[in-house]
Amino acid sequence: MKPFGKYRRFTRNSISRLLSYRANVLLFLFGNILQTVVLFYLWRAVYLSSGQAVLRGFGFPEMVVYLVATTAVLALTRAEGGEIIAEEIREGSIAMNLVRPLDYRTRIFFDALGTSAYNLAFVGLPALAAILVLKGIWGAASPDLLLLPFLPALLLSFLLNFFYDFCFGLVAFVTTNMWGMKRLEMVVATLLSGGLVPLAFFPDWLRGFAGLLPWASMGYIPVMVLLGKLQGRALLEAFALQILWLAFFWWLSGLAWKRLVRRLAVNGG
Amino acid sequence: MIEVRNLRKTFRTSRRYPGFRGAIKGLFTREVTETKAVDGLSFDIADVEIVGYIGANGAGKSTTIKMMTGTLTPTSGSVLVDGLLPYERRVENARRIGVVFGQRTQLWWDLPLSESFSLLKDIYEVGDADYARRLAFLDEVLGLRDFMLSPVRTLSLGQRMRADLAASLLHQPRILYLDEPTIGLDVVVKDRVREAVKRINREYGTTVILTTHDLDDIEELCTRIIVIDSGRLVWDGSLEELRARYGQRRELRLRLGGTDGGRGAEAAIGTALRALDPGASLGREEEELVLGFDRSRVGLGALVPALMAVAEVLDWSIRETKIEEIVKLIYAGEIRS
Repeated sequence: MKPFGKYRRFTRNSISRLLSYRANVLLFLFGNILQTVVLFYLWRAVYLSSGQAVLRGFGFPEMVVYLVATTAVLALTRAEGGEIIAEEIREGSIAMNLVRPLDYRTRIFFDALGTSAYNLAFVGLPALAAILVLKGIWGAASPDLLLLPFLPALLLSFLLNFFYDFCFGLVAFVTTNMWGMKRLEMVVATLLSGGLVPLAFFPDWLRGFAGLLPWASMGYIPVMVLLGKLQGRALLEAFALQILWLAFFWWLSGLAWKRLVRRLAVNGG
Repeated sequence: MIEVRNLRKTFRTSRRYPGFRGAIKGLFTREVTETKAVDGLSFDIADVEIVGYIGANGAGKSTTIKMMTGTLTPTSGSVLVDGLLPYERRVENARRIGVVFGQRTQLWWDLPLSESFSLLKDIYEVGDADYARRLAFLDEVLGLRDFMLSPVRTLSLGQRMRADLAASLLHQPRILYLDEPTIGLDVVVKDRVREAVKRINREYGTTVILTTHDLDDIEELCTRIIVIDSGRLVWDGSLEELRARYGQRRELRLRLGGTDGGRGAEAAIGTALRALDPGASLGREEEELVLGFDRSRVGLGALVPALMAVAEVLDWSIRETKIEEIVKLIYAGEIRS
C-alpha cells in the first residue's frame, strides 16, 4: 500500500464533487474577478486623489499585483476543513465517519487538498495569467516577482490555514453551531491577513503587532514574499514565523481533537 | 464477542428557552441538566448471534450502539468488543465492524454508487479478488446491479438502504450493527433486507446487533432480544422464552349493545374481568372494547358467560397476542425478567 493510499481518494473525490456542480466553477471565478476589479478601481481612486506615485512603499502596479495575488492566495489556502467538520456535526454524518478506520484529521486534510487543487486551477492559474498580462502591459514599470521563495511560503500558508481552520471547526463540537463565530472570524481574518488593505497601511501601533499574528502568516507574508518586499534576513524571519505558527496549530489541533472526541455527543443521539 | 459491564453514560445538556426572547436569554444564561441515557447495563453477546436490541424512543439504544462502535466514551463501566475497548481504539475497532444507520447514509451523496463502493474498498484496504467476490455476492442477495452507476442522491429509499447495507459489508466485518435498517421501507424491500441479513449471518458468521421499532424484524431475524428502558435492562432472553411465558395472553374484542354503545357497562365488565384474572387489561378502541387476559388463568368458557351476565354483547372476536403487544407490555413495565 502506498502511504496515505486510502486518504488520497478523498482528494480526488472532493475535486470531482466540486466539478459536478459546474455552474459553481463560473460563479466562483466570476465572484473573485468582480471583487478584484472593485478593489482595483478603489485603489486607483486612492492613488489618483493622493497625487503620489508610491503609497507606503507600494507603487500602483505593485498594488494591483498585490490585490490579484492576495485574492488568489486566500482562495488557494482557504481551508474548508472547519466547514466540513461543522457540516458533519450539524447533519450528524460525523457518526458515520467515526465508524470508519480513518484518522479524522488526515481525512479532512486530504479533502481540503482537493478544494485547494480545484482553486489552484480555477483561481490560481487565472490570477497568474492576469499578472503575466499586466506585466506585459506595464513593461519596464512592472514590479519584479520572486516566485522561488513564494512557493514555499504559499505551501506553509496552506498548511497553517488547514490546522488553524481545523481548530476552528472543532469549536463546532462545543457550540454545535458556529455560524456567528465563523462570520466574526472571517471579518477578522480578512482584515488581518491583508485581504482588504496591506498591513503596511495599518496605523503604526497595529502594524507590527498584526504582522506577528497567525493571519499575517496565512495571507500577507506569501504575497509580500512574491512582491520581493521581504528579502534576506526579513525573508528568513517570515518563514520562521510561519513555521512557528504552523507547529503551534498542528499541536493544538491534535490536542483539541483528542479532548473533544471524548466528549463528543453527536446530534440526534 | 461483546461484553457490556455496568455501562453508564450521562449527558449534560443545556436547555434552550422557547421563542425569540428565549433565544436572547439563552445567550447569557443556560440551564444545565444531566440525563442518564444509559444507566448500568450489563450483557454479553455471543459470536454469530442475531440480537434484537429494542426499547422505546429515548430508551438509550443509540447511545449504547455508539459506545459499542467507539464513537462515544462511557461515563463509567465498559464495553469490550472482540477483545478491545472500541472508544480507546476506535480505528482498529472500525476495521472489524459494519454499521448501518437507517436514517443516515454512509455513501457519498454526489458520487455514483460504484464510486462509493470503490472508495470504501480503499478505505478498508480490501484486496481486488475479495472485493469482486463480495460484490458479486452482495449483488446477488440485494440486487444492486440496476443502480450501480446512479449517483446516490438519485436512489430511492429502498435502493439506498440496500446499497447502504452492501456498503457496510464490503470489508466482511465480524460484527454488523443495524440501527433501524427497515425504517420507511415497503414490504418487499423489507423482506429483501431481512433475507440478506439472514444469509450474511449464516454464510459469513457475522454477529448482528439490530435495533428496530419494527417488531416483525425481530420476529423474522432474532433468536434473542434485549429490551432496555430508561437506560436499564428490562428483558434479556430468547424470543421463544418470552413467547412461552407471555404468549398465553389473548385478546378479546367486544362490541356492545345499548344506546351508549355499552359505555355504561364498562365498569362492570372491568370488575368481572379482574375477578377472574387480576393481571387483565381493559381498553377501548373506537366502538370496540379490548380485553387482554392470560389464557392459563381464565379460559374463554368461564370468561364469556361472566361478561354476558353484566353487558349486552353483540359481537366478539379473539386472537393471540402478537410479540408486538408483549413488547408493549415490557415497555409499560408490566413484564420484567
